[in-house]
Amino acid sequence: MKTKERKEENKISRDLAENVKQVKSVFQDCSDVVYREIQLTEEIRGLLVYIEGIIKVEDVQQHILRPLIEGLDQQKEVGQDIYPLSFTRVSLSQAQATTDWPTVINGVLTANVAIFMEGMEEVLLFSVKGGSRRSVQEPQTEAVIRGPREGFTESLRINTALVRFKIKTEKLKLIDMVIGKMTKTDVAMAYIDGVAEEKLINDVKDRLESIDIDGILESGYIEEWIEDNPSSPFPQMQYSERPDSVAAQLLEGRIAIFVDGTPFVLIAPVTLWQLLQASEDYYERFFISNMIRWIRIFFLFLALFLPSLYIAVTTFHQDMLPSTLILSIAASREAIPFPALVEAFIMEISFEALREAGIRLPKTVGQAVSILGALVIGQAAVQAGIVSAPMVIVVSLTGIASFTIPRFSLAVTVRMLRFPIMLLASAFGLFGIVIGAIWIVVHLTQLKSFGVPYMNGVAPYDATDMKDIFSRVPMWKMNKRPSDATRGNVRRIGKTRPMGSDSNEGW
Amino acid sequence: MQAKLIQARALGVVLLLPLLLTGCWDRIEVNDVAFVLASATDMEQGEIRSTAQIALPSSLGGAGSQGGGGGTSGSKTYLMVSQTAPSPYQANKQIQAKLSRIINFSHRRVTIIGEEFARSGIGEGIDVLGRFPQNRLTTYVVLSRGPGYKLLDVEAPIEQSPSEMIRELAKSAMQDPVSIQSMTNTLLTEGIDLAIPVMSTTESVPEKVGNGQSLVKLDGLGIFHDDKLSGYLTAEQTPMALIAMGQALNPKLTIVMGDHHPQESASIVLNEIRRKLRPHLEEGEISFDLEVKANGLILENVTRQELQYTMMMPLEKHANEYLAKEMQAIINETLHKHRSDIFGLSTAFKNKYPAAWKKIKHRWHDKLPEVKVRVRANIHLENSGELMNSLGIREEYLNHD
Repeated sequence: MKTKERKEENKISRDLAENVKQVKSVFQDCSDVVYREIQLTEEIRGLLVYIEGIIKVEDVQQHILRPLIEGLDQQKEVGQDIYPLSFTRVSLSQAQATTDWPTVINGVLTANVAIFMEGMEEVLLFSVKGGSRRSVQEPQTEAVIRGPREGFTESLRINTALVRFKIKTEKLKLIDMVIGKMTKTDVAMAYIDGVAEEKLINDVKDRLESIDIDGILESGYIEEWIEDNPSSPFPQMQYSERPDSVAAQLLEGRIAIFVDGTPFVLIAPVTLWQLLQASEDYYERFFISNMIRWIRIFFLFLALFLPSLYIAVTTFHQDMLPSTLILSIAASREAIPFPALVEAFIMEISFEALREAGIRLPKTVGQAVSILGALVIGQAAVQAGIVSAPMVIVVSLTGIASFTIPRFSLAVTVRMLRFPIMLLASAFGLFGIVIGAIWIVVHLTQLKSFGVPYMNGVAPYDATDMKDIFSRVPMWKMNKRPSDATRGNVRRIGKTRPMGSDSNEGW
Repeated sequence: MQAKLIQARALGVVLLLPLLLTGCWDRIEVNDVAFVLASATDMEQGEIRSTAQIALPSSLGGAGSQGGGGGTSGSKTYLMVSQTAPSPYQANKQIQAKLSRIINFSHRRVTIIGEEFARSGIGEGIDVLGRFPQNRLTTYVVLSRGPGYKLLDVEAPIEQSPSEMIRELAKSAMQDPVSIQSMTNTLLTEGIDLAIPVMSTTESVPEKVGNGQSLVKLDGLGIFHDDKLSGYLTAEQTPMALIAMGQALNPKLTIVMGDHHPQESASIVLNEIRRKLRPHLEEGEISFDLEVKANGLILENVTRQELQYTMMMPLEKHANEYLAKEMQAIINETLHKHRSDIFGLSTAFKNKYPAAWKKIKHRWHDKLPEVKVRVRANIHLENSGELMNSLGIREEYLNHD
């Protein structure tokens, strides 16, 4: 009985005055809600309700108000039933009629215009999404020399459209969800039907549906909620600002999660190797890509181990360096008051602080910070004999090395892991570094991202996956999709490309 | 979950505990290490004198030291410490007592064996060099005329420290310079003997030219019999001995042409030297065929030979005869006088006649004077340089000859 009453309460009343009272009490103290009374016919009055700012005011004026007012003028003789009339009069594509309050309120909150009519228990909702949103711009975080210059924006539909522009197949599926009890954030999960694995799709869907939180403000909320191992320092999902990156991952059978309000799209599952690939790897010729990729892998190790190697070698294994090198290191360390470990920590932490300050500070002040950093910490500290010159070289090389990693999330992980390894190196020398390295490798082999081993291709080994891990073979040689996400449908190239130029020279 | 947490905490404790063990660390900062650049071992009244040259990084002029004001010891970039003791290790231990920094031998570039020590036998003395892992096996070994510490105390302004100059010279002395590793191997291999480059001090210019600075120079080859120094080959003999050993590094020969013109000589440099040693055993007689093949080019020609017509044939012939004669003389001297097998004859013999070797190996050094070595040289002159005939040959002289 009680539930039925409540149901009654949830229904729209036929009485307009009652409805107006109701809607005004719901949106009490919401100054951005606009109520506009209209005359639909000479007898029937109505009320327009919308939230200012998130809708397109021009659309409301052009396609709702004007036809209604002009229509009133032309068609004075109408019956009692205004309902079909309103639909035909309003020239907007997305329209919906509802009879219960929650839908109406939800509709108003998600950029719909609600029209209440006298004597009708249905409310018409017209979608007039608008408001000012950033237009498509060049991605800030993933710059390339060669490749598309467009990046995702904060608007979900623009983002999905950017991908749809690239993948023109009906098999590109987008499953919409609303997550967040308060924010009601639109989330879309994209995959290519027939390429992505069924099990994976269901897994991601289940995990997304299990999210129970009041607000989703960025895709990071979702990432933390659904990742496999929250206590791992390694990122288990990739995020990207580039439609071409996302499209490429979709074509490899992975799943993209679009979140309204952020330009960063999540991609799952992910492997360590994928985080070392930049989109440009596939746009430049494979010689260049290979060289750059090797440099990247080499510098990954440098970023992780260089300060620890310096500490270990100078404090434990002085016999490992060439004589002239150890003598010049000894010469520059002669007046330094700190042990190598403390020196390294001072420099590494001030580097991290400089980097952080460089991001947070306004652009105009940023330059001052970099000058201060370079001059004060770089030069003055060496001249004052507080820090040795080789340590400055090591730290700056490490800093540069960490920025060669194309994914910021992995770069931060590497920079973070460097500190425990430095401690190990200062306690146990090279043995400590080996212990640290083994620790990391063991962790990586255990880690999984959505059921896919993090080092897939190397551990477990897969010969065809190796084509795109430590090297990048020419496009026409990569005839199979990576095995991590596509177990059934792997072939992506039809016939083998005819080799050599003689056969198709054309005369 | 609970177990995992406990595990993580236990790991954390295990990792943090070593930080408290300050006293047990092997950790030494670079500025607490005294790097030995070179050392010399000498014999003084039955005791070993060990001398070490230790780098002074503060006066090496590193960028970091400018603010610290470290360099107080004048211009010298090294410190010399010396001590006598019954054995080299004990001497080094006493040296350590004089130093505030921990002595480290891993960057010793070169070690010098003094003459007297060499004559008394180096076997026991260098035991520590081959045994203690911190001693770098690639440390070069050099012999000195007179006491070894004299070599370490030269000025050698051309390098940062005398050790560097000695090392560079030792490197240029032979194809495979004698290192602790090769010296140990030679001493441990039956039959063969050591030949170590000799160095002595010298002045950069004679007194009448000006104030010279003291330098080190290569001064022949020390020939060992077992582990005892038996004698020296002079600087002039050394290239021939090295060719016979197959160790020569671009030797330069000066060949005198014709008897009536002693000034008529040509200098050639040999490269790509290939040495062949063939042992023979005939009715108990041991003999060897030593054949040296080499390509050469002419550096200087003050002869009256017309190279452009004769294709350098006479010069090659003279060079072959000269080389064979000189090598024969040196081989005979080493075998007869020093009874030393620096040429690796025993290795070649052992490889070909293992059974016979077993019988004679204990008498090998006594048999050496009876061994015959037949030497043949085969030099091919490839190139006469930018010029053909000597500039000294005038056109009219050629016409009227």
